[in-house]
Amino acid sequence: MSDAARFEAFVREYQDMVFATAVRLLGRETDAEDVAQTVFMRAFERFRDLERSPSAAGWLKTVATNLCLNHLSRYRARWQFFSDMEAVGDSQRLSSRIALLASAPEELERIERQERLERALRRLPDHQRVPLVLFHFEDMSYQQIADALGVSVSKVKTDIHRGRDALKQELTTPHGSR
Amino acid sequence: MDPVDLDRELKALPLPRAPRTLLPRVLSATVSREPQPAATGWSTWRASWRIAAFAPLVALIAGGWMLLTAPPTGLSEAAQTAGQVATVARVVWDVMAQPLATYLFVLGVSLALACALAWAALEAALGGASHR
Repeated sequence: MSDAARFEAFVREYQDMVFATAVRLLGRETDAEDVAQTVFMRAFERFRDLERSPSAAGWLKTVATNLCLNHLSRYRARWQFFSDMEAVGDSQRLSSRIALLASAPEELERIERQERLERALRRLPDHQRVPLVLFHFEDMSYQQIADALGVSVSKVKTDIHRGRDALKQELTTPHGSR
Repeated sequence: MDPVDLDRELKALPLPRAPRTLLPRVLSATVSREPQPAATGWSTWRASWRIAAFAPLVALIAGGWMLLTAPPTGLSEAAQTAGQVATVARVVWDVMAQPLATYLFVLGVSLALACALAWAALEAALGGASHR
C-alpha cells in the first residue's frame, strides 16, 4: 500500500474522533472542519511516526484540543451563535428517520433527545461549553482544565455547573417550545 | 427519562460524524505537500550509484598519491607563497583582531540573551497562544 493510501486510511479511521472533539469545543461545524483539516495536516508531516504509534489517537486529540483552544482565544471577539448545525446532515438523516418513525417510535424519540442535547451543548457560550466538553468528553480534571484555559479552578467548576444546568433545562423543556 | 442523569446522557451521545468534505479536503491539501522521501544510507543505494560515488574518491586518492610521489614543478614555490600569506594573516590576527575578539564575543552573547529574554516576555504577554 502506498503512503497516500495509508494516509487516507488513517484519516478515515480518525476523522470522526477529531471532528467530534473540534465541533464540541468550537460549537460550529465549519470551524471544526477547518481545525480538523489542520490536525490531519500536522499528522501528515509526521505520519511515518504516527501510523504505527499506539498513541496516535491521543496525539490527534491533544492537537485538536490545543488548536481549538487557540482558535477560541484568537477569535473570541468574533462571537457567533451556532446556526449551521441543523442544516448540515439533516438530509442525510431524513430517510432513516422516516423508517424509524414507522418501526420504532421510542428509538426515534431517543435519537431526537440526543440531538437536542447535542444542539444545546453546542449552543452554550464558549466559557461554559469548553470546560464542560473537556471535563465530560476529554476526561480532563478541573485542575487540568483550569491550567489549559488559564482560569481558576473555582471558575471552571462554576462554568461547568452552569452549563450543566442549561443542558438540563433544555432537556426538561417540552419539545418544540424553542 | 430522568433529566438529572445528565452524565449518562452525555456519555451516551453518539460521536458526531465528520462531514463528507473533510477527507477530500485533507487529501487534496496533502498532494501539494508530499513529504520528502526519507534520507537513505549509502548502503541502500543502487549498485550503479555506489560505483559512481566511488569515482571522485578514487580520483582524489590518486591525485594525492601523484602529488606526493612526483610533485610538479612550481609546487614548492606555491607552498612557500602560502606560508608567507599565512604568516601575514597571523600577524594581522595577533595585532588587530585578537584584542577585539573577546569583546565581540561577549557582545554577541549579550545580544542573543537579550533577544531570548524579549521573546520570552512576548510569549508570556501573549499567553503562549502561538504554541497551543
